[in-house]
Amino acid sequence: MALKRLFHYIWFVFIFVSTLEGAEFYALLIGDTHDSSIGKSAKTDIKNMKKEVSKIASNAGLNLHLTVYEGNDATVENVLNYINNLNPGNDDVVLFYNTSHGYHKRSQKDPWPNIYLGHSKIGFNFESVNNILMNKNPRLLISIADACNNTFEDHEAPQTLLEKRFGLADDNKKVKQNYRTLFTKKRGVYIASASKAGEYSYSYLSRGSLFTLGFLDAIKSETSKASDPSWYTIMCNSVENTKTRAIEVKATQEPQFIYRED
Amino acid sequence: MRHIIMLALLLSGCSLENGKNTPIEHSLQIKAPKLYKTLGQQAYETIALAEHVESIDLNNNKSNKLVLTKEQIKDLKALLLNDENYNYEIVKKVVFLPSYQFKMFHHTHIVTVDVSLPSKQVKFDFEGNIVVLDDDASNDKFNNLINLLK
Repeated sequence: MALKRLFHYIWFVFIFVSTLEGAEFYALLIGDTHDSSIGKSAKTDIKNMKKEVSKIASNAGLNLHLTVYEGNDATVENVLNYINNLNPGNDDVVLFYNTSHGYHKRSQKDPWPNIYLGHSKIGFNFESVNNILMNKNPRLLISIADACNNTFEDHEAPQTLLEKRFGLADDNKKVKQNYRTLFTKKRGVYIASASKAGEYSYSYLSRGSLFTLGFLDAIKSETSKASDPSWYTIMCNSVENTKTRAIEVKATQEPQFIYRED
Repeated sequence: MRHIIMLALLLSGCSLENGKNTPIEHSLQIKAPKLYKTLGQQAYETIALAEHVESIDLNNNKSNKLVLTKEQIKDLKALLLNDENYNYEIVKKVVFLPSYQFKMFHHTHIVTVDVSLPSKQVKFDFEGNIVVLDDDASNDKFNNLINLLK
């Protein structure tokens, strides 16, 4: 009898401790860091995103599962294996982030880019990746393709698979609370690419990509300023930040996003 | 005598600090200092001093190799060795599809220059060291390059 009570007690403590722990945060960062033209910049993007992902996990109290595929590990096979094997719970957060070359095929019906990884010399369809991830029903899915979306004739395109500082300390209560709101309370799907179909995306030669920097600035701004932070505002500001940066370097780049708030 | 040498060394150091040309740069008449810095001395020298250039139209007959005349080589060098033709700030995140290729020979060195018309970019390959630069959209560099082949 005493043994049974002890068992119930242990079981109760286990359940109690489990509920105290935060949700899981699965972050996949992919960077074509060996590429001869955008490699340096992709390295900066990955470095910046790693930093942000750690910040998200610590501020929002999430258990971080970070996977980074860069250099020789940035292969289509690795990415697809990861996505297929990912098994998030319905209270978990999934972040898919990619910085690489990309393209859009003339015959393609969806508005998203195909992501090209130089080491594999093939591309994969961003929309298909998002469909796979959405079907896994995480509480929150943030999916970003910082890549070109310019149009190639089908025969030209690579083989494609799956057809400012605010002066506030980061440990500031408001920032922490805003990270918690964004990553532990919000539900939905946010999918973004760095440019619209038919358009180019740009990166600085070594300072990172225009869209990734715009996205990180938007998160910083929203977690520092807003009383009720929203993903919609972050996405809108990411678009505006990118457009502004592009104008500064005499280029044109307009990101796109879709969202579903549950 | 030693003082004169020291003075010469000091002055040459000062001239470098002042952004003036090194002796090598003088001999090459560096016309594109940013490109020189980006590609490195040997690659730049190979382009600047190339005496033999072959070009291939990769869109059409890939076996149809064309040897450029002295005048065409001069024009090509003038186009390639001009910093104003490149954007040194940003680069497109686009898959590079080469349209034309130039192989530039100087002694035992070769620089392969690929030109992509779809993305308006130039790729320099010197012994495996690859540099890709976007064109400066404000000029007709690419049309000029293509006219060279006609």
